[in-house]
Amino acid sequence: MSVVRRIIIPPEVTVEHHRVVTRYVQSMRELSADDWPLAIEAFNLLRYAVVIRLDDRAYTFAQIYDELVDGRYATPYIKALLELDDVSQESVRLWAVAARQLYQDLTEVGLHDPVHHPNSRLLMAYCLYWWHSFCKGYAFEVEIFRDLEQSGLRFEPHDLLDPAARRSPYDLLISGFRGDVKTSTYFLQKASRQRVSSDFFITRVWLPGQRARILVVFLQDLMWDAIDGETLVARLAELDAVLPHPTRIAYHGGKLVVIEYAHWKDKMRQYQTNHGEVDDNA
Amino acid sequence: MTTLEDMPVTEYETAIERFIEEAAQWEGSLPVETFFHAWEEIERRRTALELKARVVHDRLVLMAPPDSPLVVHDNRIQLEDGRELVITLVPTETASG
Repeated sequence: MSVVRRIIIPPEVTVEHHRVVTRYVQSMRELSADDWPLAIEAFNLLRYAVVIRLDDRAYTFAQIYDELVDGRYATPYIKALLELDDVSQESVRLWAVAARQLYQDLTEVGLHDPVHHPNSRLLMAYCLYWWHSFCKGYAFEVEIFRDLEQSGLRFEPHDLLDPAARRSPYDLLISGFRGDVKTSTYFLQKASRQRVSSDFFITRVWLPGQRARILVVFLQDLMWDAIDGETLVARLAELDAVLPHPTRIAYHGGKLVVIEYAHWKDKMRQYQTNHGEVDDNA
Repeated sequence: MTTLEDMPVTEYETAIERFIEEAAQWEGSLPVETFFHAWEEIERRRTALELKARVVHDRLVLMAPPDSPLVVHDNRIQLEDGRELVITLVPTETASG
């Protein structure tokens, strides 16, 4: 039974934001390069949307997500993730089960009432968007951490089971370098809230020209200089053609080196061996 | 274009169920050009860090967005150097003083 008296959507949320949220729900994979920044902006603005309940208590969408989604499902999801053998395949089911459960939860507590309060559909879209970012982001992180372990590299991951550590400004420390592990959509979400300050970040992108998904690492100049290497210089539009060769690119406000993940691991292994961090027979 | 809020309920419910199915299969990898184009646009749009404030029983309560780098507690903002920025409400001065 509905407990909603009224839902207030921030005035900054425009008709275009409403439309892009709809496109996201209907066909997220079809969103264009222009759609993504708008969609991320829309979901950021919707944090401040407010549900006023019949008892006059008011909660923002962000508070509802924190309490009813993150608070209930985040740590159990991570625990379940750590138990999986094949994270990328098996985590699919975990996401879907929890997504359906949160739909049911929000409906049962009366905050999601699509018939009488159509704006509560935006609350549902908001929660599903964040839950998807969370699930896919941490599944990716666990995959990478496992691979780094198997590769014999020394690194310190943040504690995934500690909610405070999960919010740390970076995800892992390797040879003193601070790194992030993010899906490309989750990375964009983070970039929308704060300037990218990590020394490197690992992500996965799709190369349409090569019809392949590849793992890449973006490094700040300082780190690249430390682990050494030569680069090509390319424009963004040329990346598809030059990857996986290490490539230096200019992006808004700076320069980055892009390198294929396997190549980066080789460089890091060499660096750690040279600095006595790992046994070179490992 | 019909938005989520304008759809008939059954169409909305179908859209949500399809979303869950489709999202399950997609791990969030964007085409490289889309990724960079979107990143550039996001950097261009990004503005100052944002906090919201509310007055609750004559006390100021600050609220940071969920993944904000700012750490806030009631009317206090934790600074990077370990100090706290404390914002206190004061009564409005009247014209008569």
